[in-house]
Amino acid sequence: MIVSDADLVARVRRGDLAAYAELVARHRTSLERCAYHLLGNLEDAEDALQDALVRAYRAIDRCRQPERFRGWLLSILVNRCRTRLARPDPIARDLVASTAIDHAAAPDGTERASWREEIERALATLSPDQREAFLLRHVEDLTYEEIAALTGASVPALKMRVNRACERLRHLLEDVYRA
Amino acid sequence: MPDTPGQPASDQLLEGVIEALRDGVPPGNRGPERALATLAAARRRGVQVLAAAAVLILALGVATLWRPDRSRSVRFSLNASASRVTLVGDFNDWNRAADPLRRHDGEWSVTLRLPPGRYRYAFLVDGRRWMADQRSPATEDEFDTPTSVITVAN
Repeated sequence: MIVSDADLVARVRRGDLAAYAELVARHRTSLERCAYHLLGNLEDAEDALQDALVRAYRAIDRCRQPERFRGWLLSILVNRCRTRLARPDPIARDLVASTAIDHAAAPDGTERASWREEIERALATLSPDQREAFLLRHVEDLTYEEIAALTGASVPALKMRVNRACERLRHLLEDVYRA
Repeated sequence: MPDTPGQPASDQLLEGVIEALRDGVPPGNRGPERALATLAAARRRGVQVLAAAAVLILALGVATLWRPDRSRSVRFSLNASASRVTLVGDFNDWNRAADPLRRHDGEWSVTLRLPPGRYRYAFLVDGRRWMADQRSPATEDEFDTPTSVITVAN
């Protein structure tokens, strides 16, 4: 029988750290992906994810809808990523645009690696708001209502951000894609 | 990436982008392991701190008893239709089981002894609904739940 997220959250509230480890393992791929694409480098993504997971555990009693644990956890992670992006550190911010590309490139320079490299390059040119909305909607498959709940932005504003992100990605990647 | 007949190239393009982004995360993010290690270590430290505190209290003995207590009684109350209300805040680590309120004449209340300081808190109604205290100032809360703040003076 599959144990639901809500059941695991209830166990975590009783102090069961193993249940929390199971929740983390269950959503790990999504969390790693989200942090990496929002921040653009593995080091910041690792710090943000650690920070978010510790905070979420300590605030588990404040998860109002345990059956939507993943969305709640993503909201904490997105906040931690925003905090990192807002740091007044120009060197760190430049890295967002550059290191994602480094990580995306495969050593053998295959066609697939080149395509990913171009995608990461294009993604890094989006504004943080657009990048966040695009990733949550299309890569993490959240609904606009869920994204609105976790970011505080209105649904129309989110749709606009996603549309603009799509337009920009199409514009930047069209030539590479056709080639 | 060849075009598929009948499908706009730009949509295929975006699907390719999304697919690459879903698959294209480099391995090696140790954030989850670091977080779980941090939490496990904090739990071990908690046990050690409790043991150390017990020893310290015993060692201090009577001297502790006649030190001036700077804590103040603070009464928290709420008028709400509910079957149970608990008080959660910085003073009890947001533990929903620590400070239940009692109902008297339609009002829920609990009185705590709090040392001087600034505390964020909220009422948890029926285990689900978060309510701020209308009698205290509201404050920012990163989890987007209603939260109040109280300052206990020296």
